[in-house]
Amino acid sequence: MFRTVSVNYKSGNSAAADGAAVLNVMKNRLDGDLGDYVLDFLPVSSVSKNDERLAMVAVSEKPVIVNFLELLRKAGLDVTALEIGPVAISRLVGKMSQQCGNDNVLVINSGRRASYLTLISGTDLLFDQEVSFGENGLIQQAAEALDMPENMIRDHLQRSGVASVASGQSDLGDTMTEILKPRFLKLVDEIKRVCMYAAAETRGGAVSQVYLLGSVARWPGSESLLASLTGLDVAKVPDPLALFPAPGNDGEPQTESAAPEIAVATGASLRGVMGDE
Amino acid sequence: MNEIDLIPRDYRNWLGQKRVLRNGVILFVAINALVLAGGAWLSHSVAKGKALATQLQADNAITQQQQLQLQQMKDQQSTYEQQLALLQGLRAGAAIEDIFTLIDRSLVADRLWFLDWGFRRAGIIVDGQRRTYETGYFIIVGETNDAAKKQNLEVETRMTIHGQATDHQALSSFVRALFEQPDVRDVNVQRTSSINLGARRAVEFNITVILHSEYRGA
Repeated sequence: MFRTVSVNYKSGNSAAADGAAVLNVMKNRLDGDLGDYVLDFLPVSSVSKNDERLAMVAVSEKPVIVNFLELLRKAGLDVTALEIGPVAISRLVGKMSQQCGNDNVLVINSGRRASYLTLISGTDLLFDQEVSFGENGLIQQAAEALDMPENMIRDHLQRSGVASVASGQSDLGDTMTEILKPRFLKLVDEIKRVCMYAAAETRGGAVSQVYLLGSVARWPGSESLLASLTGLDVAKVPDPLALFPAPGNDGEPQTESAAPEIAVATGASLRGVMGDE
Repeated sequence: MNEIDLIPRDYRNWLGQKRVLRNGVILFVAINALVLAGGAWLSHSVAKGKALATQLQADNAITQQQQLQLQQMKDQQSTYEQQLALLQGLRAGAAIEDIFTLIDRSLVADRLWFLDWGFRRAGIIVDGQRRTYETGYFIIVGETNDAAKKQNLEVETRMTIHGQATDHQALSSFVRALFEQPDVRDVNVQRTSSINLGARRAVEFNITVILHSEYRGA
């Protein structure tokens, strides 16, 4: 529905000048008339090279957006704004980074068809990229290799997960890991590329934390496998609700009912609450 | 710019215009509904007022009819009172003995005598002007004649005297003496003629004496 593009542009002395500069850059990257697209961008405040700045641009074809908005309107919803997932994630991670003190954070949001690598520096969204690493592809590969139904593979992965390289699990677990490892290695390549991009854009800043969320995150051991393959600190995204103190709990964060699936929704709900710090 | 929002500006404007249009339509419908409701209320009030006016007019018609009946009854009462007064006047009037006393006072001894006399008492309709002479006719006027309502009913007592006098001086003295009587209103000499009464001449006369009435009906 949309895609994100990181662009460098020459900063003006006003928001309108910045917008015009971003549009000028995007004009060369998009096919057809700019009027056929909907664009919005987030300037990255922490990255500045002289008068050149980095911005994360979200772009989509206008008819797609309008049709989607019309569907929502006809469903009786009053749409205030159309948020994108990476921004919500960066907002949530930015909130968590304030508490954990992480500099650069990479979020791997795995989906059924593809996954998204979102690089966040402090509270800035630096980078968002789609990679062809999805749950369906992994299950299909395992099912073909093991000659088993995909449903059975899905159930097994959700129940037993994948074994890390160092851990010695059952034969099936090891076999499954070996089957899926080439695809994980492709993801690792992309992660390393993002780490290099982070170092380049943040003057040598390393990715200090990798959060995993989405469908693959529900597989036990997936974060350990990625950590062993990348050598980075990979963890499932903490409970988003832990950011908020439970009512009547004397300010203590809520720890029960951990639901990492709602990370994007939680980040979207923080829109306007954090004061865009 | 700190947030991403992919809602197209023209779409947001279109939504805003649509919202304004919808609010305008709602406002228009609400105003129309208010106007209709007000019109219905006014119509109801007008109908109610008309009904009240009709009721008042009916009441007023009844009142006018009652007034008319009252007026008719008053007129009838007036007629009855007139008739009663007339009857009372006819019954009352001057007493016969008083009339004769009055005539007797005016007689000139041995110079004037009566041959015949008549007496009549009746009610007459007059037009409000006192008359010095009446022919003795009764005038009956219907109730619907407005002119008659302005007329007065008067009970008149008149006496006609046919007599003879030795001369005109005696007759004149008699008539003057009658005039001087306070109860006599008018004296009309109807006719005089000289006659031979044996060896002497005499004057035969007819006079009418009209007495003051004790009743003057309205």
